Amino acid sequence: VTSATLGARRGRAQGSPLARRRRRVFGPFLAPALILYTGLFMVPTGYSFYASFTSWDGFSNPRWKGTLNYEHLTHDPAFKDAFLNTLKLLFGCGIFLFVVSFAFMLMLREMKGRRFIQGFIFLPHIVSGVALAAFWDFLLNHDGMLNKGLHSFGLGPVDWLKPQWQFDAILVAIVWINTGYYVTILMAGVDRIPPYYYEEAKLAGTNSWQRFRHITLPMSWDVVGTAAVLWTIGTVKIFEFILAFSGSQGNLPTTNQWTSALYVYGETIGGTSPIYDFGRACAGAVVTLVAVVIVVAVLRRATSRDRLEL
Amino acid sequence: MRTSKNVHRAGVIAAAVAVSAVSLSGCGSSSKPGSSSGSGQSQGSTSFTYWSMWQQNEPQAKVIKKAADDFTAATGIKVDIQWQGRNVITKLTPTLKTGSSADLVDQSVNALGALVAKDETADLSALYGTTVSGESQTIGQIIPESYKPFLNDKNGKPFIAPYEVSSEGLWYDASKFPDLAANPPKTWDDLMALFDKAKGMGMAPVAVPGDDKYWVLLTLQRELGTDGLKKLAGDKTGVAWDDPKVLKAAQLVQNLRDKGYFIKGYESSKSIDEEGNWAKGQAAFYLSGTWVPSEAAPNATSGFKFDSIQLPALDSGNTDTGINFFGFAVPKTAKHSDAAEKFIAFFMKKQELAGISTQALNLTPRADVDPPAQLASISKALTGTVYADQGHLSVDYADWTNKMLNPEMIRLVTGQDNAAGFVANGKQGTIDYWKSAS
Repeated sequence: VTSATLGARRGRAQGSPLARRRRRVFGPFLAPALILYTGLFMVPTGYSFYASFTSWDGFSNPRWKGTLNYEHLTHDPAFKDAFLNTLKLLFGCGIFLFVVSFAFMLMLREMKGRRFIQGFIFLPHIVSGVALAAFWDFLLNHDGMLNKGLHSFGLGPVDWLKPQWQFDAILVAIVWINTGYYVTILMAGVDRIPPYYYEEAKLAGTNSWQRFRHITLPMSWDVVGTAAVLWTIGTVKIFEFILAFSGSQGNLPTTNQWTSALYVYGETIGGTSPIYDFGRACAGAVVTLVAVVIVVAVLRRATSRDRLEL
Repeated sequence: MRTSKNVHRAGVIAAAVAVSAVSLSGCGSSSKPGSSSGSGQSQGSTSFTYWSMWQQNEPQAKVIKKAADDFTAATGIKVDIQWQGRNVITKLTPTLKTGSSADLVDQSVNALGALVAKDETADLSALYGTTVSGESQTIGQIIPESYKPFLNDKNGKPFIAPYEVSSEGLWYDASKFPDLAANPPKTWDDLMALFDKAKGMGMAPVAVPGDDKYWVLLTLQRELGTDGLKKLAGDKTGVAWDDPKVLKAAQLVQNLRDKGYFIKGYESSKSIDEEGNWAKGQAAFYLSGTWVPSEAAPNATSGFKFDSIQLPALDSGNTDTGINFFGFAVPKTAKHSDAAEKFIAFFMKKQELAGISTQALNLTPRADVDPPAQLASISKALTGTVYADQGHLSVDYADWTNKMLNPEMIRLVTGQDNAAGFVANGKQGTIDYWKSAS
């Protein structure tokens, strides 16, 4: 098909009664979603950018404050903790999560009863974070299941949840919760790869690492990239597990376990005596947003390949 | 096989939008301008709306519900109760500008502080002058004078009508230490001797959660006095931390850990675990609030007799008792404040308020309502000099307490820092904090 004929075809399509009718319904179909999205989402987001330059208790009228909230953030130890912890989740947890997910995926590919196991590891993803936090505490606390298990071997007890390890326990839990989800996504990507590639590679005498390196990875690269972006966005949402796991009796977790989401909560309505500093919280959220956008942009560029349509 | 180029720019934008939904949605909703008239003294209301800090099945809720039913029967005024739970103030705040959704609300002095700071609570002076329903005294007269400074806003006007009082004590099983109530430790050495005695009895002396805040805070209060404690927060130069008494208080807490008085494995436990360990008899003492007897009762060994002592005096000589209040407040923009205040006057009468003691097992502000037996010692301590619980730090310096003090206290209690480290970090942390404060 030459470009000339394409152009001609497009010209006819624009003029056709069907296309005209299509264009007429386009607006009414789009409008409700667009209005809802703008009203409930874009406007508050824009307002948050504005609020980050103000002193605002979420109640009175905001007072303009310039960039002072941002300057204060640079001195705020709680924000440093929160930002660093978010990065730990994003990269530390992320790398570990993808290694584990790939390992599971490769293992499950050639396994009988893989659907069952896949369902099993997916399970934590659909259980509420609060319930998982209770379970994780039950498992790891001083009199918990893990120490009881160790005791039967004459070992321990180990203080798994001592303050300096508590965030690490959260990191491990987050990997545990999310593995099933990412295995499922990766599996869907890998399942599309036609088996004859593998058959041919086997005939050529390749080992399983070579097959992974030269077939599985390149041919599922777009799925990996999408999964990485999903993870990046997902890390900003990690909130209720930490609140339920580390907070107690309405108190916030200590600041060394805060993430960006907890920072926003802690600076506004969280805890037994809330701070109501919406201006600073919005500034914190904006900084996190910018950081995440940069990470996503870099990830998209790094994983950008010609997509395979199989 | 056809190929198409990845549209990564669109992906970035989509991601940005999705992320902002998550991270910014908390900051959304703009405030609307609205009426900001003072406490519109309404008249002749036949109903009012009460937003409660309790959940329906809590004992306090049952006491209040019964009082509301009695009130309606007596006056014909209907009470629309909504059991909002502990974050009632957070839920109420957005409604205040356009006319409060609730005519009556209750929470602790600390939680109501957010409304008081915004000048959104009605002045209850007139209510304090009102006679309690069916009695001869006014509300102002049944509330002990020593409590009143903590019930006023910055203009010296009462904003809360307290119906429940709480405090902290060092809890123990009186069946194991029968003489302690009569002879409480007078010095820190006495207290250590008591802990050694507990050790000799085969118990860990002290159950303490890994995120404990009471030991450090209350020891600092005893060593520095209440004003000295507040100075630690308010002194922007951090010099207050150089007072050798701060180091001494920190050393006393460090010694508790070093001498092995704290129960094994406490570093990784929470208050609910340690309260249980203590009630099961694994530890002799537990420093916590007046809610302990009702909360720990299901775990308690048979014959357990709840009682408490106060920490002994230290260098400041201060033996005051910390006090916190739960009570009613009326939002300034309430539409039926008259009916709400009538209900308060009704609830404060002995017959109704006694339920807080007999059913909810808590203390009331009324001296003529007998405290539950478990709280008799604390109730007696509260007849002496009182100070705003935890020096009011969690309200006046809430952000500093969250970001600076609490993490440092945990580091000291769990041995991540020694006493000198606590002081050094506290000083530097406070200086840094004030640099970042808005």
